[in-house]
Amino acid sequence: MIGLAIIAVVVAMAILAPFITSYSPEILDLHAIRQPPSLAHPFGTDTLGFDVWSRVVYGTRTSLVVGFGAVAISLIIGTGLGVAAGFYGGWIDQIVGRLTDTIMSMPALLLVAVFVSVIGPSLESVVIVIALLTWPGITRLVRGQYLTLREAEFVTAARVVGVSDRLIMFRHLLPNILGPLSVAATFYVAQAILLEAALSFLGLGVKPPTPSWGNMVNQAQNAYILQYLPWIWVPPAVAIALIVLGINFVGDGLRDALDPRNTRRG
Amino acid sequence: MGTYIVRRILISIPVLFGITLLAFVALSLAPGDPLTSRIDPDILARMSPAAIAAVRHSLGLDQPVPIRYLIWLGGLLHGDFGYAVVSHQRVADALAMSLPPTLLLMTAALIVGVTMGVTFGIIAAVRRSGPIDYALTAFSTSFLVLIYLFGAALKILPTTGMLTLGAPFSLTDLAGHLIMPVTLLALGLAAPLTRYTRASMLDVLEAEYVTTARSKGLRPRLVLLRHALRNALIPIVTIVGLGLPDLVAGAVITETLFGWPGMGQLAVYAASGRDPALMMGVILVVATGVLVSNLVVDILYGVVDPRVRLGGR
Repeated sequence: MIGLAIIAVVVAMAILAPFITSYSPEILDLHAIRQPPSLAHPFGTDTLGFDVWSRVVYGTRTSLVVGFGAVAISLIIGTGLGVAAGFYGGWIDQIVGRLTDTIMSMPALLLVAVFVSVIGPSLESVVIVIALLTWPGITRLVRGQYLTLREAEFVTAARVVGVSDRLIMFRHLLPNILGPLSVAATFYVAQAILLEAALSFLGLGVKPPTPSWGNMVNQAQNAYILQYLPWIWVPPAVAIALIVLGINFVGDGLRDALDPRNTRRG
Repeated sequence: MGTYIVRRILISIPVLFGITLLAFVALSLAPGDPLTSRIDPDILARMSPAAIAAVRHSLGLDQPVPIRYLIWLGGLLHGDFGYAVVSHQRVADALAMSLPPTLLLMTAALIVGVTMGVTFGIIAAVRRSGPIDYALTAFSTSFLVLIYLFGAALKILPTTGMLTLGAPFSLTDLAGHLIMPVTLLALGLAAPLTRYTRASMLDVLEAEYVTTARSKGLRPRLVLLRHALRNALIPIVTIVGLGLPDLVAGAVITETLFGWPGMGQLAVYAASGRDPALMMGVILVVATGVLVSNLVVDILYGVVDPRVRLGGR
């Protein structure tokens, strides 16, 4: 419930952004740099004169676009390949299996950094690259579920009646795995948001002036800002922690609700 | 067990080729002249266009990507990783310089993180649903604030670099610089580990052999550590293994944050400078490291679980 509440607040902030901020997140005011929090600037201003509050608020949009955008794309790729590998097996399974092994053997952050630097850092490239490198987890999950499900009797029954492969795969089998898939997807949203934040923090992801919590915390790499101007980096850091925590809570809740074995021991 | 290890190594090799090939193709699509990554940029600047064309041909840079990949692999066999564009350094030298600090950082973080995670997990499982159980979950987040206070605000602990500049080398100096990054990195590992250890211990504690051991009148500590923990360890080993790539990613961030002169910083430097040869070197080393540690985890299964060791498979 706490998780849902946090997400609701974040989504509301993203939608209502223009109404709850009085400054643009991408226009800097050189007359007001490094100001501590005040009535005019509730979270103060940073070294370039950006209003921290409005960048935090607009940053929700960046994080949500990355989180949900990347996971949506990787769900399509991951489910597609997982379904094919699990249902058909054989050489398709071999190729997909080796590909997932390969990508999963590297820390995602490093690969994402390499690929984003090749395409050129921007919001779109971050979303696409994160999606292209996080589908293997989903593929493994889907493949594993399909391996057991395809032996089920209702599949044989459907075959006997003459249902086509494609229809069995998507109409008969897919609904059966929506539970675990949605739990996994929730956690991947949190992971994608963290990846973007980490990447932008390193200066390799979303670049200013586009507001992103990661590139806001990036300013804390300067020791002076870290020690004496905490209002510049504490709000985005707390925001990252909160949204990831919220999404993970929702994931845990979903898993508990969907897991039939769970009997809530107290 | 022996054949099992050999088979695992054989599986790892194509994965290593796959990952380098993937990165190589991606990097060759990037804008920029690959020639700068093959010869010392200082020499390159003094060469005539005709000479450059000749060198380009002799290095095979006018060849298609697959051939160039094979040439890169051939260079590796002679320990030739090429040149880093910006620093004018040989990539092999840069890697050799960055690897030890990272290994030190990660080994320390691994030891601290696993010890912390497993200990907290056991305590949380034993005191299930009590205040300590909840407190331990909250602890890991608040702990970060604590080290920040001690480190940055109170200036008790150094927050940048590996050694104090200009000071003579001393172990205490190194240890002081290690505390902040290691704690940060270890916490990232310990947090999920605490949860999994707790869950795994809860499962095991309900097993009948634990009840038997208890009713025999064995001391609770003995039941917990000798009977329960040994069986709970198997999923814990898996989680540690799965967490290793995350640990590498965490090291990239931690090193940047604390100015630790390791592979993580080198990776960020290479990516932000779009330095193809340096990036390939980093990827190769990191991928090898992850694959080797996966192998170690597999071997650990055999140590922890006699069924794996004796089962043969």
